[in-house]
Amino acid sequence: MAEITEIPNTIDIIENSRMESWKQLKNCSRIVVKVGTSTLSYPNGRLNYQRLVKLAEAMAGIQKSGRKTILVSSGAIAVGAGRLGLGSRPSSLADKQALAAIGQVELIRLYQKFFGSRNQQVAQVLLTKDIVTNQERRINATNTLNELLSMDIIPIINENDTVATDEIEFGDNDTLSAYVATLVNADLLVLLSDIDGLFSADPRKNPDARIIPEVTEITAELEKSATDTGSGFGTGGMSTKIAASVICRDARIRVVITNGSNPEILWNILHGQESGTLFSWKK
Amino acid sequence: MKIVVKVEIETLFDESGSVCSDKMEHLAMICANLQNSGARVLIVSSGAIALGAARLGLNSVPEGITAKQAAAAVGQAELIITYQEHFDNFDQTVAQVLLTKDVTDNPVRNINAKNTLINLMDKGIIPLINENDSVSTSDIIMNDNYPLVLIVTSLTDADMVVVNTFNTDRFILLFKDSSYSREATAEELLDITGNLKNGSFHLKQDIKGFPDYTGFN
Repeated sequence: MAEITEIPNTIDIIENSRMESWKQLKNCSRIVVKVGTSTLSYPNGRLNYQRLVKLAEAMAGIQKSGRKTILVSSGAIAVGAGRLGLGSRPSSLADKQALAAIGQVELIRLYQKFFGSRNQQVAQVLLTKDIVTNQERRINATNTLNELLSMDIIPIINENDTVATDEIEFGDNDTLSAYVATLVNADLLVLLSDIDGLFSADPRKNPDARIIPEVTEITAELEKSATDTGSGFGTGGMSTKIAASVICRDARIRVVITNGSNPEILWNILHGQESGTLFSWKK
Repeated sequence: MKIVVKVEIETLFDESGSVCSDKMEHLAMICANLQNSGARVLIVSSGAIALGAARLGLNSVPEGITAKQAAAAVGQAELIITYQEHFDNFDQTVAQVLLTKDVTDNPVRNINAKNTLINLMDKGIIPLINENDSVSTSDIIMNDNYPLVLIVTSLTDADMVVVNTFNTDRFILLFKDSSYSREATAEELLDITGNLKNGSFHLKQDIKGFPDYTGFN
């Protein structure tokens, strides 16, 4: 009999602890938001303008609430392909770099337009992996970002694809956004994705797959189960999100993986509502 | 023929310190015209910090390197948007390429930058090049991007550097492997490049004072 009554108690405790972890996100004041290509565009690669508008709306609002936000945005290559009328993501590195150089212009123009109409100034910062390996670059990047934040400007960050290569650079913005979070001492990284969070199994194959609402440690099993997914224009999958979480764990920065199809979900997170998967590190 | 156009800050602004749309449009027209003539144009443009300061409502360029870096991050966004909007009038796509000085000594960066620039030019796109001020400070400290112009000229093996200064109708032409330079109006510049044959200099001899560069490939 004793065993039977203990079980719901244990569940209650876990439940309460989890709700408490999400509630603590109300106090976050420095938030890095990463948005992927698959969230910003349709499966055919063309931009979803409404999604950008909603993202700008949510982030400008959060900034106005007194918090500081940084946006790490993919999408330049997809926008560049759209501008040139190409049907699919190019495969060669050289073409990706050229399309990124073209698309970044349009992407930042749209962000400035959508944030600007909400009276929110933005700035463009393009980074390479130098921010991890080269101290001078890291200091410069940190100074620039902190200065922008202190001026109430939202930095919009992307990898500087035109000089980067697959081998030596981040290659995906999940990892870049995690390093950015460490540079500015963020207290939260939100990875806006096209899936609802971290699942217990592949939801496309297993109907019993459910979202794991809280992760407090990254086990070898977890790393192994994170299989790569993704549409034709995105590069990140769950494995890069786990890698980003590992970087943030070492800096004690919490991470949320959630669905970015409605960017207003950022507000839900900051209101302490459970919205996807929260990586919260035990002291 | 590859032409690096160095745009000075005076070209972009009017006396009040805001972007002069007429000047920008004229510059875009000339560059698009050069592209249409078969030449390939790369632009190295000043103005990011000044544009950023203007956008932030500052009366002057801020003091201090970090403040300038922040202004540059705001202004670079403004700069590329302004260029693209004016080039759109001439159906010309531009691309942003931000470089750091290590493109000269880091072999991987060097190849990547070169490939990107050449690939863009092959696609008929004008690269807009600047130093990546957010992570690098050498241009800010030097307050000039001539070193960057030289790097771009070398990376792309450009034939000519055109410095656009004072206004959009005065250009200084500098030729590769030559100490020769001359001034030209926009019309003369287009006349010169429009008379090139097969990528080599074969110039109309009636352009006064212009040397015979036939045989220069």
